[in-house]
Amino acid sequence: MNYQLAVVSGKGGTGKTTVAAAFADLAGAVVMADCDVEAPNLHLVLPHETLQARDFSGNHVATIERDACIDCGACESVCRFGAVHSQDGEYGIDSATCEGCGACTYVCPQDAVTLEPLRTGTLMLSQAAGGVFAHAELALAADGSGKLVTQVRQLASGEARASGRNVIIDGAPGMGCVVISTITGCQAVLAVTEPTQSGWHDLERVLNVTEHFRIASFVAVNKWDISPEMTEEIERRCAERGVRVVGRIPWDPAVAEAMARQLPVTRVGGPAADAIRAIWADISAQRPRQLPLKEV
Amino acid sequence: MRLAILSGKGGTGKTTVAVNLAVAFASARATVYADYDVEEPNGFIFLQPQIVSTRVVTSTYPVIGEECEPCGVCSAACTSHALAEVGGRVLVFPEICHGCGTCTLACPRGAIREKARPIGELRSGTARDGLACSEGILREGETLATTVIQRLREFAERDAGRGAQGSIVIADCPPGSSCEVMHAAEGSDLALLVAEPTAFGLHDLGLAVRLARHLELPAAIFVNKDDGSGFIDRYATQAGLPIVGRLPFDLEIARVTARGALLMDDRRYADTFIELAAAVSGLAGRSRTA
Ligand code: SF4
Ligand code: SF4
Repeated sequence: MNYQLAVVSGKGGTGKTTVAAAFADLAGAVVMADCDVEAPNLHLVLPHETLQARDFSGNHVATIERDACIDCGACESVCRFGAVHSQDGEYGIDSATCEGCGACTYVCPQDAVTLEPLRTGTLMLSQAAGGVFAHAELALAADGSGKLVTQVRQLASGEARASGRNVIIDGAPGMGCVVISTITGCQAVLAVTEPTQSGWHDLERVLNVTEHFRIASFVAVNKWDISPEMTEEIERRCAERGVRVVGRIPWDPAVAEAMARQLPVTRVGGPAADAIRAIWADISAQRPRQLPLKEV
Repeated sequence: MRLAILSGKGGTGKTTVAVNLAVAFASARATVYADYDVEEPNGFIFLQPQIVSTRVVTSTYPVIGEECEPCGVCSAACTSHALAEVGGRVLVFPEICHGCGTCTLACPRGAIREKARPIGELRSGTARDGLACSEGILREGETLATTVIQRLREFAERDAGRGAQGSIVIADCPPGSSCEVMHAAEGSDLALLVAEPTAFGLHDLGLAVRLARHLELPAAIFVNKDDGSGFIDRYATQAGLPIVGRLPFDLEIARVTARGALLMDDRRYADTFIELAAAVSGLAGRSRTA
């Protein structure tokens, strides 16, 4: 039996990777997963050695075989993404716009359109101090980051099941596709926010998503001392919606120092590290009571 | 002239730069600010435009009719895995459906009809100095950010006949490096990359530079939270990219933006953006004539 905890942020740059890396350090034997596949950072502060890397194809792209094409335009008429173009009466597909849906392949009277898998990223498994670490890198400007996130999750889950360990996830920013893929099947989410108007706005949206998927959520306010008033405001609004704020993390130069030394902040110490340690103690202590432990 | 404000990583101050730059431009020229960060749009918090028009963004999803005798064709055809045949029934997962219509074309019995569902909203209005503002908002639980971005581009730029000669479009792009950013940034005259001098910041700036090169956009860097470490400067020199502005690391700036206030309203910082406006106009103009 194992559980999965995702650290998310809504707004980017609030310090979720710093928190996730510190959790990895504090949790001891654990499986880590970096689901921020568009701008992964966890590997920068989690000393590791890559065990395996493989290409992942999360999408398709259509191509027209010129010799078979009779330039009838049937494909253009069904493509809802504007990916089919004709130039001088010759039809072709813009691979950057093509969503790989295959609608065109169903209408081509010549069977001239084929759907080929497209490499959309690299999936990696690495060895870090506390255990294995699943991560990925989305190919530049690729579509289907959600699918790549799902792959990272599956890789981590498989490792967790085999070793009986828990999973800590460095989530994706935002509240869309990648976040949904990050949190589905998690037992808990910790949302790291900043005490700013934007921070609250984004937090609210990500909480709406975690609520929508019925996942237990906690909040931590990072750099709370930038605005004690806004911190209180966020705590009040979270209380109103029944979400517990599990801690305040102060602004601390040790965070940047740890990043530069490529270490979790808990290895450098300081007030931010202390606050994160207290948050971890809190979340890990109440977990068994509060969260239904379910097989992943 | 169209400027794409990019950051690779979120939280670098991309929106801070975008909104203040838009305000700096608006006093002198017709300016459009468009917030393409549809998952977490924040620009309006600062600009507080008077909203004059809104539009719902929809996408379609299949509804399986009575004629269906589950044959597995539609679920096999759907590359988004939005259809599944379970226990002699076809289940539809609207949130992951891309609305491509392939299943409708594939169904041998013509059993599939399509229904529209709202996936987001576009809003536009006017802020001070006639600054035209638009934003896109993806609905919670929905995944089609790209569709909202594409509709916003038509709504904010094309339909309004904006981006015409002499006017400025400031495109506040989403973070990351996926096709969402590409749809928001492509076709710009200049990519302004907002970076902060931390290890993560440098890593993600590299990502933004690669993306700009991929889209063949000339790029320039804005250093935010500059602590004088010269971290970004060294990278910029190596990469051959100009640094067109910087804001110092200063808790006071953090406090001003935390409140949702504009730095353009603060005498200490306004010049930074007025100078930035001049610098980026020069660069973008040069790239246009080149
Ligand atoms: S696969 Fe879909 S998006 Fe690509 S060209 Fe064909 S119809 Fe258009
Ligand atoms: S419209 Fe396209 S994405 Fe949606 S269910 Fe049908 S085939 Fe799948």
